[in-house]
Amino acid sequence: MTLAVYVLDVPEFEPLVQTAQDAGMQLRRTGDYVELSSSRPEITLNREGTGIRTALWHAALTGGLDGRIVAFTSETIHLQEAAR
Amino acid sequence: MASPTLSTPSGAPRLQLDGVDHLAFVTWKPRATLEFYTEVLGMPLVHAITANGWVTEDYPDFVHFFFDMGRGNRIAFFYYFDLPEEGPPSDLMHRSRHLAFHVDTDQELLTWRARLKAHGVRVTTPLAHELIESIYFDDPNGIQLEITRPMREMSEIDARDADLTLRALVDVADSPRPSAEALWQRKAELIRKDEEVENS
Repeated sequence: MTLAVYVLDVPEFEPLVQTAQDAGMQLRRTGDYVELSSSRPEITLNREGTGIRTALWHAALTGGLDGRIVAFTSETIHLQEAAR
Repeated sequence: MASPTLSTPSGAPRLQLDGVDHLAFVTWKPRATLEFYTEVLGMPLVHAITANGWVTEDYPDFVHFFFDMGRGNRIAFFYYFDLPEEGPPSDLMHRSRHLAFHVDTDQELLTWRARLKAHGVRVTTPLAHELIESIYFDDPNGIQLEITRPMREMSEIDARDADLTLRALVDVADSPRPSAEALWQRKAELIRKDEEVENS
């Protein structure tokens, strides 16, 4: 059971990495990506106050997701670990 | 970015396409199209041919005319005589099938926006995507046009990421229930596989 989000290590995604870290996710670099993992089975990222622009927010999972989506709206991304 | 190339048998010259020669659309509004492309977008009219229909049995008589988009690329229109006008596409297809012109700077993007507005063209505010920032507007034919400027240059990391995304997409698109979530999950698997290969 894991919950992790992969984010391409490029400048425009840095606010997303910061938001995930602020929400308690742990950072590890792997190749071209930052792996943001959660020790908890669920995590919710909130866009408010992050300054992440709309198009980028909606592309937040483009790097990859180890887990499943509970909800993905213009303001929150609620993720849960995938049952294996 | 490198141009697309194909490998060829050793010794043969490299086979390589060299950009866009022309991109063709159909118009039912030649006057508005001529005015828009020459006067608003400032593209010279560079070629026009008129012919009676010869391509297929029922091909209508036509005019095919070309504007220079810059860098040797042209946009072309067919005007067909006696062809009933098609209805508009769905909103999704209208937004999807579009043509984006390149400018280098934020200032040029804003200047183009002001110019379009001055000509009475409805144009969006600049929208920042990941790598590019764009304005959107329609030509007189309802073709969605975009002017875009880079926010950073594409680099090798973007191409490597795109390769993984498309590997995930083709896997998921062939599955019984394709979804964005399934693609993102597949992509994470591919990233972890690459990491295992590198560590082995």
